[in-house]
Amino acid sequence: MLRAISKDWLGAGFVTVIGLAILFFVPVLFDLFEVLQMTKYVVLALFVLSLAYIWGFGGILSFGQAGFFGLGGYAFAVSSINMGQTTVPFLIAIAVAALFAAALGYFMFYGRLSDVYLGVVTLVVTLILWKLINHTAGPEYVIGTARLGGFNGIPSIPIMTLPWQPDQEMEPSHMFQYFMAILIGVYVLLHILIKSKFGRIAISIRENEVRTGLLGYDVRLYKLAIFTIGGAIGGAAGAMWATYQTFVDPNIFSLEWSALCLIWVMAGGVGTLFGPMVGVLALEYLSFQLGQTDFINNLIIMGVILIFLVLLLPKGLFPTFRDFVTKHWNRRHE
Amino acid sequence: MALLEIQNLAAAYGPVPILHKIDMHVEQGEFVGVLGHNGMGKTTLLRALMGFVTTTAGSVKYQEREIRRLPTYKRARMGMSLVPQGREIFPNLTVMENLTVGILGKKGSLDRIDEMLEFFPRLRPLLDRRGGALSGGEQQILALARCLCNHPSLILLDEPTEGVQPSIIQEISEVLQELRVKQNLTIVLVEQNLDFILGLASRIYTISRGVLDTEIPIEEIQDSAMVAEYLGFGN
Repeated sequence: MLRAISKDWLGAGFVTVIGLAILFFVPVLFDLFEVLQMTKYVVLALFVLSLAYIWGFGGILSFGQAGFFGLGGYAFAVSSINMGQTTVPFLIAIAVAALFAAALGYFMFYGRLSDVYLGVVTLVVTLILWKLINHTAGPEYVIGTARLGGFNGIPSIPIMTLPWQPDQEMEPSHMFQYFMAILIGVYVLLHILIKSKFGRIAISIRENEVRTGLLGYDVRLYKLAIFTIGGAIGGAAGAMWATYQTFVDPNIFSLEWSALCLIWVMAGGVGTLFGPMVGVLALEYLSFQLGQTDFINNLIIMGVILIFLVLLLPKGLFPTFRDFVTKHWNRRHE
Repeated sequence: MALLEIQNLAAAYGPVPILHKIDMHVEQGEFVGVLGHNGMGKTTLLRALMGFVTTTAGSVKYQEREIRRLPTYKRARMGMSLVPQGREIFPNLTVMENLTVGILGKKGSLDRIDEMLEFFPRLRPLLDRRGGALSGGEQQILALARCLCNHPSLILLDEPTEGVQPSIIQEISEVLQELRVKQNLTIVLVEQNLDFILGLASRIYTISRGVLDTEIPIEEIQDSAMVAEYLGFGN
């Protein structure tokens, strides 16, 4: 048992050390444009963790993770414009997304929706939010001093500040480090959660809800908690996205974001936390590089790559790599 | 007063009725068997008792409390535990994790797991192994140990010998006998394996087409030819 525990923690520790190295060295070794680009990947990595956790470790396949991402973004935008600071708005964004996830989850799980309908409901709710925000262009849609702006979005969102320096906007390199620290923190917390009894029960639910219920666990309550945690992480990512861009518009709720989130998790590997983060980095970097070429539409190339990924590496990039290394390691040490 | 009292119970899969007018009682510490051919409603009976098959009529009283409308997890928390057919362990969790999940709450969990490993020493060297990597017999033992982790007072066992090697069937049988004596466990066992059920049960019901139609008297249980006749096995 000790061997199994240490192996698990060794992997998480390794990822954390790599994360810390990136946190410290990226701003030193890379130029401003690359640091900004990597800040984007960090925010998206946090966004993908929200789905990687609920899908990979709770068996909840949400097609509407962009809903929480968008709510977090809008809640942060509105509250930071009104309050003139970013620390409390960041917490408000997390709370709004978590509360919305809890309310939606309550109706879905206590209404005993099956997995297919759950996917449909999450997708539809996100599209409703997208439609709703799109129709708030008029001057009457104001919260405090923040105009929602409809399809024009909300511009001039304050740049993130440190809690103890609310008047000083972060430099891009500091914002990268701050976001990276949040990403590492969430990764470690999720790892601890997964290895806790709660996490094992969540995995039991993923494997078989009926069996878990037979052991005396209220499956609906656990699923609600898992879904709410996912919503909170999605909301945090949305707030970070809003302050990173200093702008947010209804497209944050679009189907494209939800689909991308699913694709990143699938490409990186369902059932891991590290894999989906690798998925974001690999696919977004590829998309960025292809976007710089003009000989072929990069979406076509991305589509072909994704089809090959699903067909040739159905487990995803990271689990396939891990299995390959483990197999060769075991063979060499037999 | 009976630990489990079932009166006039009916159950259905959607519009299709499966169980009809089931009357059954199980006393504390009893080992009751339910025998029947495939498709006669044995598994449905246990599932209905645990609350994940819809019951359409009748009453189920456990510890003198009506539980027919309680959700599965509440029945489990009251001390009822089902070991389903086909083991149903969690294949991606290790043996240790399977046992840990079997304990509601944290108090004394490691002690209880240790206690279970005393009963099932076969599991001790397998603690780090994933449940899915165990043999069928080992999975059955794990399923039983996981169920016992939570101190149930009534165990519903669904065909525990199905696809299990004879040496493990013997081991399971011995452990069940020991548990019954030491922990005053009450067990309802659904089986097709005549020898296994005859070696353990103090009373046997037969089930046919969703109806519990015969209660075989205790004095006739040891006569396997007689039991086979009740079942129409034509020994």
